[in-house]
Amino acid sequence: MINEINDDLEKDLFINIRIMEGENLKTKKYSDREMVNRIMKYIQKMVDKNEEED
Amino acid sequence: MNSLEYFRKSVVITGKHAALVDEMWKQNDIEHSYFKRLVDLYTIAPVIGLRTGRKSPEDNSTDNKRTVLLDQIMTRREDLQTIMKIILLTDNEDNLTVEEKINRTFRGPSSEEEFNKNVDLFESYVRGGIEVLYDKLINRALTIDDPYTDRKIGNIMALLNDDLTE
Amino acid sequence: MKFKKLIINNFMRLKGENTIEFSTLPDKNVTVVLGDNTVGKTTLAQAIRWCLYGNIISTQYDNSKNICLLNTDILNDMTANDRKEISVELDIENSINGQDRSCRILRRAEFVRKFPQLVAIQKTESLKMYIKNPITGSEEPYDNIGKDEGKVDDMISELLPKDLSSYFLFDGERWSDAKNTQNDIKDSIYTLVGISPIRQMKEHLGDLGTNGRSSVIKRLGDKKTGSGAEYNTIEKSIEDYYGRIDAQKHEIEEAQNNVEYYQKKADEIKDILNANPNVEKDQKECEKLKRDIESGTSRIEKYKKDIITRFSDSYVYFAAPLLQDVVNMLDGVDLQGSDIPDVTDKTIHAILQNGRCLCGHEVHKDSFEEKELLKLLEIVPPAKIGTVVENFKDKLANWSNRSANLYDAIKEDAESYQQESDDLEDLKEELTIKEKKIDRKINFAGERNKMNSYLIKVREANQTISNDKAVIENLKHKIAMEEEKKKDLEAKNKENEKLDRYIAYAKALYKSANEIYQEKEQNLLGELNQIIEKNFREMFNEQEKYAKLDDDYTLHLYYRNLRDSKGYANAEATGLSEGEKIARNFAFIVSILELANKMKDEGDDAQAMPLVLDGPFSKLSDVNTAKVARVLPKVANQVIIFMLDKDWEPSGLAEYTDTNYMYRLEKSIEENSSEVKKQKEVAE
Repeated sequence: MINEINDDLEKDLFINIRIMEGENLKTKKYSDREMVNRIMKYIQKMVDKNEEED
Repeated sequence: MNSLEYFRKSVVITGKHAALVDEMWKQNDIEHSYFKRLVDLYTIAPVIGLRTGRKSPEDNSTDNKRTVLLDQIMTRREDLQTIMKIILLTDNEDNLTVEEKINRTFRGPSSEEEFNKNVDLFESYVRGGIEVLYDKLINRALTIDDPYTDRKIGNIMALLNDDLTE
Repeated sequence: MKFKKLIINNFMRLKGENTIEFSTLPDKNVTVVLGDNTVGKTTLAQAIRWCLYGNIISTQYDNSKNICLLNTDILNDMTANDRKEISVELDIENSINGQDRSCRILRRAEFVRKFPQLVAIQKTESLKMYIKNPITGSEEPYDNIGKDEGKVDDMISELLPKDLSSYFLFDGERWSDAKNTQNDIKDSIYTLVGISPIRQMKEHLGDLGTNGRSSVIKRLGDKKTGSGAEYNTIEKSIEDYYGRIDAQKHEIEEAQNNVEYYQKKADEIKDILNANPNVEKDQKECEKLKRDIESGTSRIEKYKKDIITRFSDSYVYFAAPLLQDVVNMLDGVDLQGSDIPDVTDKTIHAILQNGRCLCGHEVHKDSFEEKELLKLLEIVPPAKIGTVVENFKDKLANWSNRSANLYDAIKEDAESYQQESDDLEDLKEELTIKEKKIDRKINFAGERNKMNSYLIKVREANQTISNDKAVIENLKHKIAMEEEKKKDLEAKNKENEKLDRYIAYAKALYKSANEIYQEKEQNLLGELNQIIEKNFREMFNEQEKYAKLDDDYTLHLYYRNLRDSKGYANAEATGLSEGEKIARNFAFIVSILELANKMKDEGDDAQAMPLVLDGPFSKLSDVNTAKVARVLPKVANQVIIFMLDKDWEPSGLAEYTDTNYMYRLEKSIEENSSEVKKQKEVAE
């Protein structure tokens, strides 16, 4: 199960991270490091949530 | 440089020497031991090895293993370092000059290679010492001249009186 | 996104309130403001820029410090205590995810006059934004100050990034060779066509830092600890310990049975022996002897233990004969190293650093000389080794003292042991004689022997039991320790498993982002160049030259097939005329807009923005004006253009302009200011 990936979740993650990046490009609100943290936390949150539902 | 400090790890005695150790020391059983703790044997053996000029290679012919635990080693660490120094000053294997011996003893190992080499030297004296100790404490039978009737005490006293020449 | 309305109040050349409504029609998407030179067409473009970003383009003015945002006619009429406000409001039609999110941006500033000079001093400035709530339809206000500091600035940035203003506000701050660096251009093109988010995403997921070590994937990986192999080892040893405990318990049970059995047997015999009154006295003596033997035995056991304890420290004793030699050896060497008077390690370091010895000899790296000096360094003061050696000698002296005492103490114990042990033998002998005497009387010798052998067996079994119990305690302790380790690892492994999941997703995302980015980036330059070439050709009917964006994202003009045979093919055209530069830049901007719109249609993150142009055709010929202008309404979402009357006809924009969105900028007769009027109304 470790290496199997839920395609829907991946798609969701992809779209939302792309939106996050797009917004940040315009506002320049977060530094690269902060963005890495945000993305990391976002993936963590969504994967956990998804797996809870399973 | 932590990794190049002597006596910072537990020590494993293997093969034949582990079997010899088992004859001289039993855990929690002073009745049948010649030493209180395994680390005591481990501290005495290299001195005996050095006195008798006996070095012995590592033996892995059997799966026997005895581990001298780090927390025991820590209680003897300073004295073990002194013995290491005495060995580094006294051992003539490499035909070093006095200055070179003093350097390797007091400036500490300059490389991992030198560190390992010195540890090996120490351990080979430990193994040599274990062999001698086994001979003198376990193999030796009491003679008419021994003033003691108990074999353990007799052999310990005989060892203390032995001139331990090479 | 389109601009809907611009309301300007007392701003620069425009006195009072002036309103321009922009065309948002899909086909006739051009809004035009006509006006002569010097009536203030540029004010309109400045108003838009000021409203959005709070600054104006000052490069067009001779003395930028003297630019006054407040209308000069108004300023003229002000007295010392008057305050006057200027404002620009820009209404924007916008939708996000199909929802109407139209908004108004309102920037205001208040001025006082530095009386009697004709100088205005700005006192305050405010910025507000009103966004339509798609559900209620009412406007929600947003502030840029107080707790919302910079909030409206952020929202504007999201809508119309300032970095991209060069591409939609063609107002004098033109895209030019000198000003923007290639990377800026590349970045803004990426943003316009919507590649940047993917590029950032790829960067953050897997590429940030050297070898991506600051990236999401690496950072998640760094959080992992421990390994499964360690866990298995621990489990195995716990299992092993439990097995050994079971074995010990079994042994205890057996020993327990033996104790009971032999004790019972011994007791039976003892009862028989004691039942005989004739032997009472002898029996008592025997009991006393037994007690003496017992206490003697425990004494010699203690001596023995003491000997072992002392012997365990005997390394100092065995080392003693070596110590003198060692001390002699150390004493024979001059460790303070005063061989060279007054030379210290500092001297040597200085020589090594200078690369030249005191004698003038050069000291090269890895040379014989260097090695000698380094050797010397170990001898000269402050050579710390001297102290170390002294400490060592002290330690050896201490060992010598300890070793002398040790031998004497062990010997004393050994002798005491022997003495006690001899005495004990005598007592035992006596006991045997007494018992035999008793046995002879009642002839129970056989029974007594039996009883003694039973008691020995009881003692042995008891010994076994207490040994086994100690071993079990020891094993239990070990198990507890291993369990502790296991718990630690379990917590870690669970965490690791989760991290592996995250990493798997991060890797999958990185892979997708990378693929999309590679594909887009590779296509982008080619696609953009195709459009540039097409537009350049279409706009300028240029046969000889063509425009091309190079790999470094700089735009160049090249001669097409110029005297191929002599190797002049595709030589770059330099020394461009002003017109050619404008043509080139036009082609570039229009092309980028076209590509962005095209990508927007394909559902990418590309931006669709209005195009605002201030007097773009003044330096172009009528023919070129026509060609350029014709392209604009097709590639841009919305075109807002301020131009001279003379360019209107040639531009041919009438075809794309609804007469409701044609304006004229007129100067008042006796004043310096201008006014915006609808063209229809002027004409009537």
